[in-house]
Amino acid sequence: MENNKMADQSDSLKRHQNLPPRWAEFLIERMLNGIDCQTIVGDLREEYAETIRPRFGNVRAMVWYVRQVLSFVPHCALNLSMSSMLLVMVSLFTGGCGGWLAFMEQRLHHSGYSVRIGVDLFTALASSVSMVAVVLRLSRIRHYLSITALGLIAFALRAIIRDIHSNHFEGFVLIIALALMLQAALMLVSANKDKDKFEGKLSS
Amino acid sequence: MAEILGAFEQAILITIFQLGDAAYGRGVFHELNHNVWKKVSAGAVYTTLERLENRGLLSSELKEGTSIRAGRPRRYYSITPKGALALNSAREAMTMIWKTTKWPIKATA
Repeated sequence: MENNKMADQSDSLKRHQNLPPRWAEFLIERMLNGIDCQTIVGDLREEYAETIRPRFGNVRAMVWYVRQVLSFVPHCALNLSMSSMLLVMVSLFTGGCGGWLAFMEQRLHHSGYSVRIGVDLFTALASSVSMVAVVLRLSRIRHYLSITALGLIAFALRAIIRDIHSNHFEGFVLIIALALMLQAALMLVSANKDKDKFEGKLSS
Repeated sequence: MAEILGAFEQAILITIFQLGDAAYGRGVFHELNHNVWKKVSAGAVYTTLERLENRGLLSSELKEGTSIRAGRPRRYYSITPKGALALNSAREAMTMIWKTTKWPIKATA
């Protein structure tokens, strides 16, 4: 009896060690999010456990699995709605601008640069999180999307007003601020769309 | 007129034909990766399978999976008459083209 129990535990442990990383399976499940998601995740799990991991070992098998997850990105991007696709593109732009501005502030060290670096990094982070939320369809963080969108609108308005009243009008600030406003509007649309879906599920 | 098939689509259809009753997603992916193309990504295989099914060249049905899949089903594929016609036409066209061409091809630039 005791031996059987131990054998079961050992089998379960072996099976568990042979499985792909849970986070990678979560990623692919979120990206596919369709009827075939379960069959594809099952197929990859089988291939990983029975062929790839025994042949290549833990690390290379994990790299293999991540490559397979990434190979679904184009498919996932093509299945996004127009507004989500636009949000991803605007987020890429504003995120890149945030990173670039933070880098330049760090190099130039103008007065008050540390606050501006904080704002730039916040923008870059907000953009990255919105992109991930859209691509992985993380409806649970819709509150985050709404609050961050309001924050981005405030930052963008402040930047526009300061730019207009400044002695040296800088066009790129206006462009980035307008992109941030567009991003915020799309984030609010996305958050409300998810909210409708969530409430629809509850009522049905 | 039969559907026009790309080389990768033909490879997938032929693999499904060869696998017969064992032609489910992983089987096709495994076969292509280890015997035909090497380093084919899952994204490419499953996207092509979906496209071929949407074009009516393949049909599929869900069946129960093994325990390692934790209850996840397997999708088994089979070639429809339209798919067989497309594959046969692709083969015929290729044979015709090669019949009138000297092999191996030499560069002309």
